[in-house]
Amino acid sequence: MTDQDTAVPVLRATGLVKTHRAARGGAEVRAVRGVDLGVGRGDFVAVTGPSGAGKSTLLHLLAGLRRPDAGEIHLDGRRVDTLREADWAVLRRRRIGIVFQTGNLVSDLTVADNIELPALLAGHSARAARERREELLTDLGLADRADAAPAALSGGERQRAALARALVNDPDLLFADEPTGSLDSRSAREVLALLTRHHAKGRTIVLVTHDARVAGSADRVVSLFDGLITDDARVDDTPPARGIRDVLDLGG
Amino acid sequence: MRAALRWIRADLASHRLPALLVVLATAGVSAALLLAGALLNNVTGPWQRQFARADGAHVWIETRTDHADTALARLPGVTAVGGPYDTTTATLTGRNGRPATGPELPLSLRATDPGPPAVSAPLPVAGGPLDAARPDGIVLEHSLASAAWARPGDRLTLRGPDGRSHTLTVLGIADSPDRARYPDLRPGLAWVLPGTLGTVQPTAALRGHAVGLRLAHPADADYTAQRAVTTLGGDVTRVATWTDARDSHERESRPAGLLLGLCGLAALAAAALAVAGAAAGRISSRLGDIATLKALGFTPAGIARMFVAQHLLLAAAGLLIGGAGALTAAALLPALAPDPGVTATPWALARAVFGSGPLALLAAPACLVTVAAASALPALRAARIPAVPPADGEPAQDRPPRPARLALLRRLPPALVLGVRGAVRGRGRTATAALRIAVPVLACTLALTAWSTLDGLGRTATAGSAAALTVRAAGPDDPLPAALAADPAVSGVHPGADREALAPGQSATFTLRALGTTDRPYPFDVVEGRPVHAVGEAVAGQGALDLLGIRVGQWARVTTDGTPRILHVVGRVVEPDRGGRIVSTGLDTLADATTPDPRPDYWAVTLRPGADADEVSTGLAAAFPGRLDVRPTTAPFAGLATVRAAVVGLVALLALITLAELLTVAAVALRAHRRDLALLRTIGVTPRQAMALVVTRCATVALLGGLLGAALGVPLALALIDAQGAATGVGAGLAHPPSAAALTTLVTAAVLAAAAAAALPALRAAREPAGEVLHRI
Repeated sequence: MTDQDTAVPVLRATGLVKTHRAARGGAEVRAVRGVDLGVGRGDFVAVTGPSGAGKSTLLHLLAGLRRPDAGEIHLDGRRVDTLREADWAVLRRRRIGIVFQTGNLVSDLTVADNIELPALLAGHSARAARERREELLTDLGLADRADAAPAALSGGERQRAALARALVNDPDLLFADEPTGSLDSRSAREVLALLTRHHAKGRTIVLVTHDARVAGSADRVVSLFDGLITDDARVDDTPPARGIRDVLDLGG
Repeated sequence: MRAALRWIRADLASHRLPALLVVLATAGVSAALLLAGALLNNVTGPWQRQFARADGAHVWIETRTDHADTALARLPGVTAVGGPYDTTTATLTGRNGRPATGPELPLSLRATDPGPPAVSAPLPVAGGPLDAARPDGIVLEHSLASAAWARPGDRLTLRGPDGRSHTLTVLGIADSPDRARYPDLRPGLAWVLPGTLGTVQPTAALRGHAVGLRLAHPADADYTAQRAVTTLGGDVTRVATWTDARDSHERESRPAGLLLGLCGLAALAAAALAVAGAAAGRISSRLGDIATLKALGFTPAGIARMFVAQHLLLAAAGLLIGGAGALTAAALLPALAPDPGVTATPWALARAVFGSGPLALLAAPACLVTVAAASALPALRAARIPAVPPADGEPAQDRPPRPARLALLRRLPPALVLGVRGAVRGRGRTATAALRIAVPVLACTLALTAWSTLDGLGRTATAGSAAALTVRAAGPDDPLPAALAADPAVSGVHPGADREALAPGQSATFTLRALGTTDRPYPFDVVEGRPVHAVGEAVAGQGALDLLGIRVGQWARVTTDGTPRILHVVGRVVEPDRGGRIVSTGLDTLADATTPDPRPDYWAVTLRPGADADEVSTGLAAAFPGRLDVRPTTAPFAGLATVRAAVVGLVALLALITLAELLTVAAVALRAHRRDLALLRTIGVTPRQAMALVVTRCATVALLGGLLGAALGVPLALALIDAQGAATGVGAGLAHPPSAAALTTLVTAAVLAAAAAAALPALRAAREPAGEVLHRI
């Protein structure tokens, strides 16, 4: 094992449970049924599984967008699942970047404003935010689309802009929920390449996808089925020793 | 903060129309409140200032004894005593050597020294004060001078109580703020030197004596007046308090100001609803964006603050515009000028509008607080929106609505079926939307009722004075009534006489008006009880009923010219004159042992429908050259003309608010039906039909809201106006409901506006490719 595994995982979840309840006595959907997961610093983890496996719900739980029914989440050893929503929001500003399937750029804001918004929220000056945005857009090849409205962008451009927005505060953790789900194969390849590049710079990435090829870019693949982890494998030459347990044991 | 501002800026830029409506609604409401404040202040302010400047007396007592002052000074709460001033009555019979063109005015001459007295100083308006060197000088009270058409320098002919004539020169005209204006209070007041009074009434024993009392607590005026009457006994001839004077000075525009203020408040409530609706619509159309903002790190409180701040910004912009609008209106409307007759400086104008009193000072905070409160609730809901983008939310219903297929099969217009059905089926949502439209429609109905009431007052003879003309003849003229009746436009000639009357135990006087006879009664418009049928019966205005403390059907004891009478009040009339303090009876009721056949002072002439009062008046005056004084009856509540302008402005404001509500309703309906629309189109509904569906739905909601608003508005308006009438002494029965045509127009306008507001966004939605919509949602 590398020293990466011996370090305290940057993100550790134990016994996560989440049940969706439809309004007015509708059916219950047990989306996540007791998931233990540890993510080491610098990991690129792909969470994969068929539709309805609970991938997105798990990601939402880890990013603090939903509150788990049971279980614990620790970020850098600090328990965070008990945080109030406002504290989660503050935490997300600096530590967590999120990319959704459809980009979810705020429709009324220009691309530039969308990207600068989290920087301003994190307390950076307007000038610093602008400089960082320019840097990112240039890096992602969108420098000339800064003043465009999100609706005027192609799907690939939208995802790249969303990625820029997620990266603007240099977060430790980047969550991506089906970032290539609505893209053609060329745009998908571009976005994946960007993710890989940022992973190479040392960023920790958790990516949710149902596409095996996308999952292949990650260095660790966690398979989810009916809300439970069925497999946890590294995509390098070394086969996993004891699946998820070694991470948990090390972490615990 | 920066992030929030960035978002607010972008949001406002991309949703200009709803933002503009919030700005305009706030501007309209704040302007209405400011103008109402200025008007109210103009109405009440000058009188208060004048009263203070003149050291006005809170109570005036007129007695026959000349040493009442010592007894009155001992009454509790009296801080200063003015007088006793000798008084005598006189009649103004001519001006500048000619007989009076108008009626002969009854005067009360008051003897004062040239210097200003400690209590109740006359406030010069024109000319100068009395002058010891000018024993023939007289100073007229302002309203009396207006009634007599007298100016400084005029020579007036007065007939003294003994019938001798005197000629006096008008030295000046002065305000007397502690005395009701002529003709609210007859006789009119004029000041002369004591020596001059001595010439007019040489017999000291026949002079009256007026004493003015200043009180430590003005609210005790009625009590003090009562004490004065008991102290002095039967020597008291007249008692008046400062409230009578205030009512008389403020009556004309006070209801206008109050009504404007009420309208402003109603508009404020409607605007609050509109802002709440717009904010709620704004938020529900941005659920996805709000979720994203939260995912980016906006805290729930931050989101709520941002929405409230956004609406406060809009409200602040609205306040600026409203303030500027109020200033412009004040510059254009003479009624609002700080000092009528004087061109106001911009600074004085600004002070008049913004510093006019509590209403103006509270206008801005009231608007801001209302907007903040109205947007706070939707903002709090926004704060609770989950941070998960709605794309991952609940699955939508995929079943194509059945009625659509049925409607298509039956060849009914599907848009109509679905639109109406959608409105009926989504009961909760429809009810909310209809209620939101009902509120401004209700306010519109109030405004329309105010308008139709004013119309009714102007057009018909609802108000006590049905007569279009009042005719006074110089000297007795028995053939006069027959001659008047000969005019083809004249429908009736009724003898009339007005007497000052005092109710036992009351400090205030009222008018006992004898009009018509028992055989040929005057056509009073009785709103309660019945008309006069027999001698001794009378009808009264609400103010008189209140003053006497009686109801219709009861007996009242009144004293006129020292003669007590018992009157059976059988009915109530709408009486706009003298605050409703008029009891009307037949002329033969005035008959008693000393005057078995009372002479009329004037003739009230009623005209046939369609006759022009001015024309008839000119004709009559020409037929009896030099002998007749014909005056058209002034339309009651002429001062309320301002209210008409206010009503128009209010309706415009409410239309704006209604439009804002309709836009919100349309947007909400569209959002709720976007998927349904797309689904319907997959089963064969054309884009045009889809658009018609949304338009029908919005129109149905507007129809429900309009009907509800109008149905609730009319009785509410009638009740409010009657309550206002009761408060001002005019009494209930004043209110006229708006015509069915006006109400129909109102509801139709709401329905059409709803259709128009929905049409464009509906068309846009209907043209979206159905596949894309279904894919996205």
